[in-house]
Amino acid sequence: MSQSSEVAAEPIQIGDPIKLTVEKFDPSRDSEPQFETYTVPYTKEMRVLEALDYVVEELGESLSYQWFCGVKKCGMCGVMVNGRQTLGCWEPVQAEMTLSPLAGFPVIRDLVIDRSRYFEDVQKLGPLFERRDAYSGFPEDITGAQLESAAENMHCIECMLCVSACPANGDMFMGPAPMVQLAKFALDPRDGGDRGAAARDIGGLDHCVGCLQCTRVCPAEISIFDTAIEGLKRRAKPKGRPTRRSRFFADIHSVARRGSRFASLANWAGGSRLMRRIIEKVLQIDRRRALPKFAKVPFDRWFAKRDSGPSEGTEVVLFHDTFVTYFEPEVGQAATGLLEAAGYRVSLADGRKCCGRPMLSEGNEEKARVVAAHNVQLLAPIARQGVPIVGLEPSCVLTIRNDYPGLIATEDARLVAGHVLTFEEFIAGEARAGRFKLSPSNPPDEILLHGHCHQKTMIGTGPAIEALGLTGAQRVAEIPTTCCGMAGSNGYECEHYDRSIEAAEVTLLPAVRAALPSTEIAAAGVSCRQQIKSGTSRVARHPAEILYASLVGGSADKGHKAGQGS
Amino acid sequence: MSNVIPLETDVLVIGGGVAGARAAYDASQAGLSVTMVVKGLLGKSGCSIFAGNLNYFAPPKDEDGAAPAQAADGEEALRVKRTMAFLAKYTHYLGDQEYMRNASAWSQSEFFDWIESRGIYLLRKDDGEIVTDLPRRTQAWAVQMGMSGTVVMDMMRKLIFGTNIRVLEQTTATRLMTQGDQVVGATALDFVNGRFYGIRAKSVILATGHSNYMSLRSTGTRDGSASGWVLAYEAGAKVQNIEMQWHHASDVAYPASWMRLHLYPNPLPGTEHRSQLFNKNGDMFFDSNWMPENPVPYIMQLKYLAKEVAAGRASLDGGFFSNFTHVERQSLEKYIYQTQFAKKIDIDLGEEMYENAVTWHMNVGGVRVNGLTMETDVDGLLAAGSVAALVTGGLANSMFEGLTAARTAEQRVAANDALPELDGSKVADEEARVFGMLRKEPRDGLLPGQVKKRIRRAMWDHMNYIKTEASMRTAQAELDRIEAEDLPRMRMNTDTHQFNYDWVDALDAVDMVKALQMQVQFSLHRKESRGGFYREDYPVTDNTNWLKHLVGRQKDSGELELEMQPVDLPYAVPEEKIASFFDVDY
Repeated sequence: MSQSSEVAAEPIQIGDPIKLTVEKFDPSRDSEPQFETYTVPYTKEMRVLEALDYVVEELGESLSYQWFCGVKKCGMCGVMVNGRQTLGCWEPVQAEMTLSPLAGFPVIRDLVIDRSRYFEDVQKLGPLFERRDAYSGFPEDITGAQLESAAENMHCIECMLCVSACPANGDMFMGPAPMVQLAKFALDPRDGGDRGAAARDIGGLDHCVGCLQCTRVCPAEISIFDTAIEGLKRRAKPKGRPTRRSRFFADIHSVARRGSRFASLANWAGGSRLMRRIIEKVLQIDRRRALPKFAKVPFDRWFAKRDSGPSEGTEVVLFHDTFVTYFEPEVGQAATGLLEAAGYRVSLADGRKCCGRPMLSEGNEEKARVVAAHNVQLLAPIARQGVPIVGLEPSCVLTIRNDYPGLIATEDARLVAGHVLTFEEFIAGEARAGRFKLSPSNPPDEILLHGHCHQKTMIGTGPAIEALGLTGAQRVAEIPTTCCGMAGSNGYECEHYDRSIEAAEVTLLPAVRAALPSTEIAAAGVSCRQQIKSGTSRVARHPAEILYASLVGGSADKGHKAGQGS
Repeated sequence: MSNVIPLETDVLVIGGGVAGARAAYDASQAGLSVTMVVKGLLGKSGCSIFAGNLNYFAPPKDEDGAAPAQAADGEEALRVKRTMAFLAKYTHYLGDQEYMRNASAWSQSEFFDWIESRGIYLLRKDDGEIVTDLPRRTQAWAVQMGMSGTVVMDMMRKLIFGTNIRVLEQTTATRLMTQGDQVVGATALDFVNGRFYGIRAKSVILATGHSNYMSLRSTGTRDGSASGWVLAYEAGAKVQNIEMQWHHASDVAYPASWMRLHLYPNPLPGTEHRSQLFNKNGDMFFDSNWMPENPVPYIMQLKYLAKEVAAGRASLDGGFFSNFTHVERQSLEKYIYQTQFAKKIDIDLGEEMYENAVTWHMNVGGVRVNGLTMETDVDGLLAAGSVAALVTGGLANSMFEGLTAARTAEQRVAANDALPELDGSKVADEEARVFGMLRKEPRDGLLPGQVKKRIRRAMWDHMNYIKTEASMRTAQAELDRIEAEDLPRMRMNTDTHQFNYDWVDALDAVDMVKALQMQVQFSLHRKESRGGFYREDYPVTDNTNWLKHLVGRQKDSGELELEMQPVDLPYAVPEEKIASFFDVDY
């Protein structure tokens, strides 16, 4: 997992000054927060909490922050460090850091937040163990194996990092921590309570968007999404039929394929105010949200018609996801152009279906299993030949890698899972092995990367930063963001639109707005790029596009134009 | 100016650890109205969350792994016997042995049922066997070694929020209110928003714990200021054996906030190995397997460390190391909470040692109580858990004291129809004292947090594990100086009522000075070394002259009066009369 926001942070030495800026606010007296900066000398393996103690005990400055234990038991010292949710006693200090109260909570004073809503929520869910059968007396007849996943959730210290990082948390969804509290019981074979129903009907579990931020920030290292959320979802089958919208997003692949045939009409509808009102009514998609435009010529048709690439060289299969294919073919074109310029033989995973992520997000495991089986059948022979399968959209790649082996427990699924790579992983790995040798002809000054949620949680942004380093940019840095707020289709949905924008405004959008005009904004996730586009005047590009522009020269043609020209 | 919010309750519980929580829960289940005043958050502050181990004295297994022949009176009796033997040494024979018999019987016959029936998961192997230390089987763990107290307190918190108990959190009791010779309630400050309460109660249970943040390095949590001793003492209760201050030898040396992370010398889960200590030359100087039958390895660690320090091969603030490299990975990775911390700073405990330093830890002494009822020497005041002087901690012991106190409180409430009145002028005086601390003058004064740090530094420098008459006199002089010069000059940058932790620090600093002045006097008085209490100038454990309780009370003049009281030894008697401190195994 990528911890530092800078590519090559120098290790801090004992005695070095830490520049600590703290957001201070007393709601009973101040009209708005003030930022104060202190200098704190570094001590061995210094944690964030110690820097705060220093401000009070050595500098004699009043500062309100909470902690009791210092060793990850009380869960009270959660704080935003440079825009990221962290636990003060657990996280190392950074040479320059800005501390703010955990995002999404009312502030009592300075870094102290009001947790009362969480505690009330947990009481509403039923926070006590409910024995299924009469207690047989100590020691009861259970095994470590039976309790393993429940025990993982018993490590929850209610630190609120996950609730703060959750883009779906709000009036509709209590957020991850209350779900972890339920999962302790749901996953415990001794418990008889209907935890799935509590999660869904009281907790609003259906509004979880599967962005994995909870897992990423959890200092107790609980796989919150995999064990708690998925565990509860399995126990909380939705009542009745799925909504129209849910079917629409789950079926985005076919929708897109059909829409692209009538691209002009569909794009007109997406832009028309009247149509947007109708779409909002029928599909509950917020009318303030710009819909992506269909490309006139889908990527796979462009690919088939292009001047073919090298006939020799290492073979690579490009997994052309739904979004690249129908909405942003320029990303696929840049990837193809880059790989071919570097001497790779590129082919597409012809006949592939949607990776299944949208179905999983909407809770339709059955449908996801069908497409997963199809794709495994298609990709297994390729993987068996040792040909790398490279995808551009992180969530597609990581669904294949992480979810397929669980959906279909076959050797082939595991084989395919082991062979898919994100585009950045592939390029970084090839460069490291000395096989990718293009040198920069048009390096950008600076690249700021916003990591996609699944990317950050499962593989970290290291490979992306490494790959972007090949552009010859003077500086490649990661914006310390949480979720961009879109979380797949979530940001389109009426009831989530405001929360989605709020999440983006925590760090991402201000950082993008503050970037120099010459700075490239990189984002591998399609919805992340959409969020940046709708919230700022800037256009974020996929790393493939940035690499293509600086290594091959000239930017890839825009999809619509390329479509027309070919 | 009075803005005192009046509250009435049958039982007032001060403290939100396991003793207070169980006392409040039981009293509430018995139909009494209960109010809890918790300085931190119920179940999240104080020392109960740190309880790493649960004493579970199963019969040892023989070499083939088969259970041994049972004692004639059965397994449970054997467990009780082993628990008692442990507690006698755990308290260096200063514990109340009648109490220990009851607490041991309860902890081995009811404690585990009580927590497990409510869903606490006692760590098991994949075949279902409870994970214990091998081969002696003396400990069990909830979820993981190091997590037991955390998960039990999480459950207690949720249990209590499901009752009608009134819980005032982030609220600190500032003084016990008396009427004649009787405790009738308390005043308390909610520092989140500056509310000040006057609470009338038929019975007050003091349960403020004992692992206090009194020295630069301490296992105590932020809220631990020994205020419980001060509250009880000023209300007329007696305080006993508080010189018996424990330290830990094997808490991590860095990062500073992890000083509360204990690398247990205790038997470890699922292995026959135990931790070892190495000096700065790389030589091992302690292995708790050298004394596998000894139930108090933390005390023995310190004795061995003292010798290394004397020889210049380690110091109290570092230069010695815990070693786990001989311990099976499964035990480290799967069963022990601490491993992940080492990993976080790139130390692989399976391959490397981790530097340690000493910390100020628990206290054997505390408020003197009747071990059968938890009554203090003042009417209306009970004390339960580690603030009381019965035993040194232990989750089960403290829970037992909590339920015992609840029973006594029930009887008292049943016998008293009328709720006593608070003395309005005393409440007003206390309100004036507390709000008088909210001051921004003098500008060149110290922030209360800075004064606390000076107090802690004085303790670290002069009242550390190794002390002498001279060092203690220096500590005393520094405490007197802080009382005379620093406390009156404490100031804040803001007098806001909104989560003003400087305010809490100011109240704490005053109590810390009082508590420590008392503790230094107790320590100067005891002219021997015993258990965790080590005087370099009296390196002898003297059971002939000093196997005595040291009891203090406040005279009318306000001064401390110390006296010696005999110790009853009905069940366990130490073998030696007078012996070198280093030759004694407790």
